[in-house]
Amino acid sequence: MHPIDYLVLGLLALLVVLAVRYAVRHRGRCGGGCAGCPHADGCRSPRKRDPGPK
Amino acid sequence: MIFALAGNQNCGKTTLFNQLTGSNQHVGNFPGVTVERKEGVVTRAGRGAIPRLWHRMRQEERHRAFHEAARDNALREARDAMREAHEDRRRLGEIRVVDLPGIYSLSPYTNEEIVTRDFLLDSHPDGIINIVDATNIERNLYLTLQLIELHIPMVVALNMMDEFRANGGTIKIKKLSEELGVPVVPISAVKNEGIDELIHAAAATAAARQLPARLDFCSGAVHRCIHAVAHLVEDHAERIGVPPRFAATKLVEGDAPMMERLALSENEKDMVEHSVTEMEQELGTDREAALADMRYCFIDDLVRTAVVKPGESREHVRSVRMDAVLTHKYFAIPIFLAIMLLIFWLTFGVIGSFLSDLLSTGIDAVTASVSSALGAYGLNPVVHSLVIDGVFAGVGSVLSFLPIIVVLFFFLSMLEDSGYMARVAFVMDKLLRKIGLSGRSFVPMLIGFGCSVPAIMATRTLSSERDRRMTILLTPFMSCSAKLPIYAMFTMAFFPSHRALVMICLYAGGMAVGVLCGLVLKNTAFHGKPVPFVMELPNYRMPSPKSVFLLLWDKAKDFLTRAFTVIFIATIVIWFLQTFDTRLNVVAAGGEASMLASFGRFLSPIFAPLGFTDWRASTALLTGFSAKEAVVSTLAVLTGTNTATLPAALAGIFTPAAAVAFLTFTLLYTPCVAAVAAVKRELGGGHAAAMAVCQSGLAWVVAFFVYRAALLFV
Repeated sequence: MHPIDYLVLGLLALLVVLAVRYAVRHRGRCGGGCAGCPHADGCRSPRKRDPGPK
Repeated sequence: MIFALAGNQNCGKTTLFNQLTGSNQHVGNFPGVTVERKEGVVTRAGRGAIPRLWHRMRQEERHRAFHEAARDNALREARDAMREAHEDRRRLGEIRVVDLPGIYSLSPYTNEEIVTRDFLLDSHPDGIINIVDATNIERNLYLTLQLIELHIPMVVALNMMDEFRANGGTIKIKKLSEELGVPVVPISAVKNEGIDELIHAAAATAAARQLPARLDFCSGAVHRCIHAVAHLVEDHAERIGVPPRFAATKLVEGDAPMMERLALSENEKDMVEHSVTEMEQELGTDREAALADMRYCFIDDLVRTAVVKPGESREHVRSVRMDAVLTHKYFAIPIFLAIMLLIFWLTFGVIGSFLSDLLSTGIDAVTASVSSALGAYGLNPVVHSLVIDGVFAGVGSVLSFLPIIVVLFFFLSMLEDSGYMARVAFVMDKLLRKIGLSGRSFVPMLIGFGCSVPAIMATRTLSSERDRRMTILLTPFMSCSAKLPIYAMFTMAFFPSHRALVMICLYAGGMAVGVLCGLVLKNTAFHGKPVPFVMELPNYRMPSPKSVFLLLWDKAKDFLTRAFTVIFIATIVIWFLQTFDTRLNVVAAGGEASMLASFGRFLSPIFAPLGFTDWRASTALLTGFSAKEAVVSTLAVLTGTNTATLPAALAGIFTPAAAVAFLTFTLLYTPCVAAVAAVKRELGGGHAAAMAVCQSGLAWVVAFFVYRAALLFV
C-alpha cells in the first residue's frame, strides 16, 4: 500500500467518524424536515436549549 | 425580556414570529402544524432603549437583593441574586418571543390549550402579545378577554389590517384600546407593517409593568357569581400565583384542573358550586353558556362602537366560490385525485425526471473523473473499489433523486400554502369516519408522505387517545419520501413509459391497504367513535414564495444530511461485507463467497415465493431498515453499477412481475428504524415491535398475491 492509500483511507475514516458522531448526537431525531414538524423544538440538545423564561 | 405570542389559529402568529426573529418557521393553514412552543430572539433593529432600561432596573433590584441577603448572612440568596444579575447583564437588550400554539380559549380541552395555559401561568412571561385577526375580530377577541384576566402586561397586535382596510373596513384603535384596557397596535405581519411599533409598545408595557386596566367585562348574575367565587378563592389563588379573577372564572366554567390546582376544601367547593348554581338558575342557562354569552355580549358592544366592518372581502367571496367546487359533495375527491395525478405526472414524468437525469449525468461524470484521478495516482485496487464502487456508487445513486423530492414537495407546499390542504382535510373527514377516524387524522397522514417520524409525533395533536393510537398504526402505510428513490429506479428500469401511473398506483395502493387495516382495527382493537372535527377554513391565498422556499430548503437539507450520514455509513458497511469473506480475504466482484452473499443466501428463500430469489434483493431490503434510500444504494454497490447502469443491472435480477412484487413489499413492510423508534416513544416497545412484524408479514402476503396476479399479465 502506498502513502496515497493511507491518506484516502484516513480521510474516509474521518468522514465515517463524523457521520457516526452526527448520527449519535441526533439520535431520536427523525432526520427529517423540521419545518412543519410540531415538535421541532424538542429535537434540540438540552445543552443548546435556551433556558426559557424565568 | 420574554413575550408570549398567543392567538387563534391562522391569525398570523407564526408569520409575526418569523418577522420578529427571522427564524425559519413553517406557516400552515390546517390544524396540527404548531403544537409545541418555539422560541426566538427578536433580531429587528430598533429594539430601542426600553429593554436596556428594563434590564438596568432589574439589575438594580438584583443588587439590592444581594446586599440585603449579604447583610442577613443569607449566602444562598445572595449568590442567586448575583447570578441573576450577571444573567441579566448578559442578556442586556435581548427580547425573546415564544410562539404558542393557536387556541380559541384557555379552557384545557386540547393539548394546545393546555400547553399555552401552562406556559402563561407557570413560566410568568414579562408580557403577552395577543395577535388578533382584524378580519375575524369577534372570535379573536374571545381569547383576548381571557388573556386579559391573566393580569399580565399585554399588547394586542391587530393583524391583517391591510386586508381589512383594503375591503373598506376601519377600526377605532384608541376606542378599542380604552375599552379593553390594553394597548392595541395595528399591524400587517405578512407585509411587515407596524412591527417596530408593536415591539416598542410591548417593551414599554412590559418595562413599566403596565397591567391591563380593566378586568371586568361582566354584569348582573355572572358578575356577582364571579366576584363571589373570586373572594372565596383569593388566598388559594395567590398561594399558587394565579390571578384570583382568572381562577374564579375557570371555576365557574367547571374547570377541573384549576379546581385541583387550587386545592379547595370540600366546604369551599360546595360554596363555589352553590354560587354557580344560583347563577344558572337566575339566567336559565348552564355555566359555560353563561360565561360565553357574557363575553360575546361585551364583544358585540365593543365591535359595534369601535369597528366599521367592510363588506364581505374579495378574498372571502373568491374562497366561497372556489369551495363550492373544490369541496363539492361529489366532485371534491375526484378533483383532489386529479390534482395529485397532475402533480405526480409533472414530478415523475416531466420536470423531476428531467432534472434527475441531468444530475445523474453530472454525478457519473464526477465519479469517472475521480476514478481516473485515483487510478493516475496508483491507488490500491481495493481502496479504489471502496471509493468508487462503494461510496460514489452508493451515495451517488441516492443523490440523483434529490430533484424528484424537491419538485414533489414544491407542488405539495404550494397546495398547503394556498389553503387547499385545509379543504382536503375537511373533505377526507367523511371518508376517514368510515374507518373510525376523523379528518383531523388526515394531517399526520399527510405529513407521513414526507416522513413517518414527524407524522407519528404530529398525532399528539389528536385529543382522542383512541384516534391517536390508530393514526400512529396507519400512518406508516402512507408511503414516505425516502421510498421515492426505490420507486423511481424500478419504474425507470421496468416501466419507463408509465412512471407516473405506477407511482400513483403505489401511493394509492398504500392508502388502500391502510384503509383496509383501519377497517379491521375499527372492528377489533379500536372500537368506538372518532371525536367531532371542527376546523377553520381560511381564505385561499397566493402561496408565499418565502414559505415555499423555506420548506424546500429544509427538505433538501434533510435529504442531503441523510445521504451523507446514514446512507454513507450503510454504503461502506455493505461494500465491506460484500468485498471480503469471513477470513477477510478479498473476493471477486459480485462474488458469492462474500460475507454479505452468505447472509443474503440465508434470507433469500423467504422471498422466493415473491419472485425474487437473488440474494442481493433480499439484502437490499434488509438494509432498508436503516433508511429506505439505502435499498437503492445497496443494489448499486452489490451490482457494481452506478446510477446510469443500475436499471439494466436490475433487469438481470428481477423479472417485471418480481419487480412489481418487490415494489409492493417495499411499500408496505416495516418503516425505517427511526420511525419504529418514534412509535416506541409514543406507544411503547411492545406495540412498535408488533407493528414492525405485522407490517412485514402483511407486506409479504400482499406482495405474494400481487406477484401471482402480475404473472398473468407479464
